Amino acid sequence: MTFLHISLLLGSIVVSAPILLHLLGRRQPKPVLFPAIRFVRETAITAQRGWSVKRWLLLALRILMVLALALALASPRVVSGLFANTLTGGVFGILALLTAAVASVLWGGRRSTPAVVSVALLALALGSAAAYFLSATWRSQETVALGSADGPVIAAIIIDTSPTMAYKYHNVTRMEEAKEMARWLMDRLPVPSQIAIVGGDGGVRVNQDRLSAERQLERVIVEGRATHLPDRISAAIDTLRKSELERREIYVITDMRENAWKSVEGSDIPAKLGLRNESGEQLPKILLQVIDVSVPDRDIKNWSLSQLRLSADSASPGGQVTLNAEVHASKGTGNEQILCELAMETQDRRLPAMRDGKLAVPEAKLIDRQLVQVSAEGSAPIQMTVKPLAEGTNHAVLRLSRPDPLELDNIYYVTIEARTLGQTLVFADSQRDGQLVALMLDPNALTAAQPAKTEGSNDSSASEPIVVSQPPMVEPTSRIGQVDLAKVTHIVLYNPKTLTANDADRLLSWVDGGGGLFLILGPGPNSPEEIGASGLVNLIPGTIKRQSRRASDDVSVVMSPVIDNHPIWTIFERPIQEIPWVNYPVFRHWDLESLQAGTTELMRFTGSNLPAMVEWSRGQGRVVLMTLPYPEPSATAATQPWSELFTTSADAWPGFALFVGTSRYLASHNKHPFNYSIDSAAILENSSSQYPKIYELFLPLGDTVRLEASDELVSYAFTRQPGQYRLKGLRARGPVLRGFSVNIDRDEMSLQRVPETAMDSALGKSNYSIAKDKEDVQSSIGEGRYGRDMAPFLLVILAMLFMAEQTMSSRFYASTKRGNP
Amino acid sequence: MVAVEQYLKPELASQIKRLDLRAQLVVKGFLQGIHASPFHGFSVEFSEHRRYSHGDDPKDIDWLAYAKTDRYYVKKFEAETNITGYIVMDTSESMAYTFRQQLTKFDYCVCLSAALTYLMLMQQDPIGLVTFDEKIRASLYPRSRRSQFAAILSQLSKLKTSGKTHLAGPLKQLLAMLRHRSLIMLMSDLLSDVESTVDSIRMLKHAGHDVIVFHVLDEAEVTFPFKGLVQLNDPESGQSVSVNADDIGNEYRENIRKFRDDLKRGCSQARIDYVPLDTSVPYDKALTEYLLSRRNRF
Repeated sequence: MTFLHISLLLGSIVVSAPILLHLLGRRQPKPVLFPAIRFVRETAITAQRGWSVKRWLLLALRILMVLALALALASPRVVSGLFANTLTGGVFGILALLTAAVASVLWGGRRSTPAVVSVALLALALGSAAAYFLSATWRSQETVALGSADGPVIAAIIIDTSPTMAYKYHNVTRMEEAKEMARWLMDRLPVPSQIAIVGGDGGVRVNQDRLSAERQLERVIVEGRATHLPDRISAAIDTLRKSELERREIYVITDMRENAWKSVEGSDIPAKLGLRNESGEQLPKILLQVIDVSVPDRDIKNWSLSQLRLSADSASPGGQVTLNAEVHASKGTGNEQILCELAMETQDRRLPAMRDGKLAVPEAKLIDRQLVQVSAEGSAPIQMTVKPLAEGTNHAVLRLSRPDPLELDNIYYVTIEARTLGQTLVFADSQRDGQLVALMLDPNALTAAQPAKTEGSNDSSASEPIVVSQPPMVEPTSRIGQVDLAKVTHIVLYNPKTLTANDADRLLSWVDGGGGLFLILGPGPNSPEEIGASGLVNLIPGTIKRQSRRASDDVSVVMSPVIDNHPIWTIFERPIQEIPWVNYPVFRHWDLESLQAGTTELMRFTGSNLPAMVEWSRGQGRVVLMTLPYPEPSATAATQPWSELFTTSADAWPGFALFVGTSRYLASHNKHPFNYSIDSAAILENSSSQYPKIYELFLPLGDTVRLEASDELVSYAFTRQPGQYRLKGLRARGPVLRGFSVNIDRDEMSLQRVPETAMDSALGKSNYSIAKDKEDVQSSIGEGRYGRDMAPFLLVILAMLFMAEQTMSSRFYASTKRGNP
Repeated sequence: MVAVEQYLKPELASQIKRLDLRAQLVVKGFLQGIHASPFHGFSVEFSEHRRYSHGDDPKDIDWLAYAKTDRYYVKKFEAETNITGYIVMDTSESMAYTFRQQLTKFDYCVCLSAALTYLMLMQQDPIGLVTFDEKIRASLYPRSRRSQFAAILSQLSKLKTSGKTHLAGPLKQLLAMLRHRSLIMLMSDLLSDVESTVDSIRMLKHAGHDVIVFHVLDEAEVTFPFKGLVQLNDPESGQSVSVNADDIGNEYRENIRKFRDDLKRGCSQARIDYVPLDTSVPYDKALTEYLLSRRNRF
């Protein structure tokens, strides 16, 4: 129960006045002789008791009057309308009983019939009032025990943390509105209530006090991924079901966007909210209230950036990367010109750093801008170039310069790494084949005079080489022993006929040291025995049994992927299963059997199910073996092609992509991207020879995390906020700055309103109610939850007490006066 | 007369004198020779003839009638007798009570006794006096001399109230004292148990005595005129109780009414005259009314 001000209750000390007057004003009875006392004594005790009761009753009435007046002036409010009903009904019930008792006494005392009837009617009226309020209590909460009507509540306040909650309306974000609503709700919970604020992590942690809940609420921020509210509601129900408190309430404060209610078919919430469990026992009801803090659809006016595509995550120093994106306008916008800006941070080895508790980052300079015309519900493409790329990690931001209510979708964070790649070495018995392989790896390999470009090209067309690196070197297989492999990061050993054991050992040592060997078997060896007799056998993680051959018109055997996820497959835009391998039959291949431990089968041949491509991890390096030649060896290409994977037509792209992807993978190039979506695990390669083992990670919001490299990798999985994540480590040469960017998937930021059917499907049509503002919440939940001002009720009671006191005192004093002439 | 004026108003005395008691008062024995005697026998006045039957005394045969009618008739007579009256007066402590009347119950009874004594003596009937509380305290042998009036009044003037009301014992004593059938005029507030009171009075009746009960209560005892908070003290028992008179007045009056009704019912069943009186009613008026009503009954 709350009061306008507790000090007003001090008025209740006035009750001492009637008590003092009563005690001081007590009169002594007048003594008289009376012989016929025997006819008095029989009734005297009851009459005297009745008189005494009347006197005390009068005193009690006056005390109650003072108390009722003091309470009414203090404007009490009970937090629960349910309790208010119970209280009101109880008081009326007590008054009805008292009045009925008075009526029966009057009747027994043979008082006048009108008096008895009047009092009886009053008792009946009071009894009816009591019955009304008590039945209202019963109706309003069927399963909640009356005794707990004013008791504490366990409440879970689920706040939608979807990115759309950052939408500003009337200069207030939806998140701020939601927090304000949450505080308002908490203010109306009884003091000993338990409150769980369910925010970004979805965990339902019950706070025993308001302060803790307030702190928890303060920590709730807009997340980069749409909240799946049904999951959170389900978890909250589970938690509330475990509580010993009988009153359980769930409030979901959301902006009603469809992303928060996805995949609601088969939701278990209606079953969980059922009033009976599986064994038929009745469960306490859980109040589920959805509070809509959304922006009316007619007022939504938003522009956004979407569909960002980078030509590459990394490039050589001085190079450039092209960004493609779209500017989209929502329904309520007009035909406007929107300016897009691209800013890139300068290189500063001292930053990032924490200065005065804030994250200091290098200054960003505007490097490109573009003006686009966008109409309502339309979109316009933009293309910008990040250049020149300084060696190291480059952070850039693409943003719309026009402010709008939802800022989160106006920006893209981009991280591009520019570093000099290691040397690629192609060993082939045939010079022609070697050059072909080199050309496939780098079209400029044979024409480039210098191994690396130092100045970026102005050409930003799609034909720009994906990887700018040192051109591959081509050497005959026989020179394996003579070439310095220390500076080589990637070797393609193409169609070797034979290999000395020393050469094989040398290559294996190089692999163990972190090298990536791409071994392509072809028509070089004539038989498995020839392979077994050479050092090649040491490079093969299994046993070559034979060479399978088919007619050139037999298209029954093709390659097929064995595993769905592998870094090599990232070169394909679509899932590896959707690549049309079936169009490229294989006629000949080596049969590889008895794979060694540590070998992963990547692709196999249909029909025989023998491996077509395997990966063998050795030491810090790896070997990828193909059991058919790609590209087709020049010697057999025209007469006895091993497959149709390699042709000069553009249709042969799967084989080419597989070859290039494998080469990049082995060169550790683009193995891990630098631009991620929210909640993706960011992984950076971290060669111990090049990078420090320990980093300090600066999160976008300014927090810092210590990261330690493991297995030559640095990973961070908690990418919950969009922005640039900066790693800072130390080496002898100075600080090492790295990083990556995390962006919100634009699908997560749809402003499409959730249909009611989806809500009904998720929660059960009759299990929840929607409120749009505080008044709606109050009327929806009712006084049963938010209490009632008891002052009017107290005034009614006061009036009744006053009438009773007047009636009784007039009789009391009149008779006293007559009795004392 | 000794203190006659104190107890008997002159107008009452004259009123009684004017009464033709022979014609108007039919109280048995009030006037000698007028009362119808219940004793048939040799005595004085012929009553009627009756056919002789076995068992009749042959000497009662009216031979003159036999001569005339040749049938045996016996003569019946009614004896004219005097009746002995006893004024039996309660002198318990409660009889000294009055709330706002001039006369206490005791004084009222004395006045009443004086009137009755005068009446009896006027009829030349002997009258005696017996006073009692818990037992008989004093008595005067019945005489019909004119001096008996003074003697009784003198005795009454000396009486003081004391003790508690207890009828059974004194009435038993009285019964033992009586040798002839007598007229017992009991005056008391009868503030004791109804059943024992009625039983005691019936005992007198069953012994053949004629009993008139003058139940005298104070006006306050009948009307309960108190208001407000009062502490009632019983002069006999010394007990007290504080009550709000307004609350119990009705019930008290009901109790008194029931008390009187019970006594009346008990007396009437035994054919005992019960005369309820209260001190607010002038005793002369009350006595006259009673005598008139008794005459009408007979």
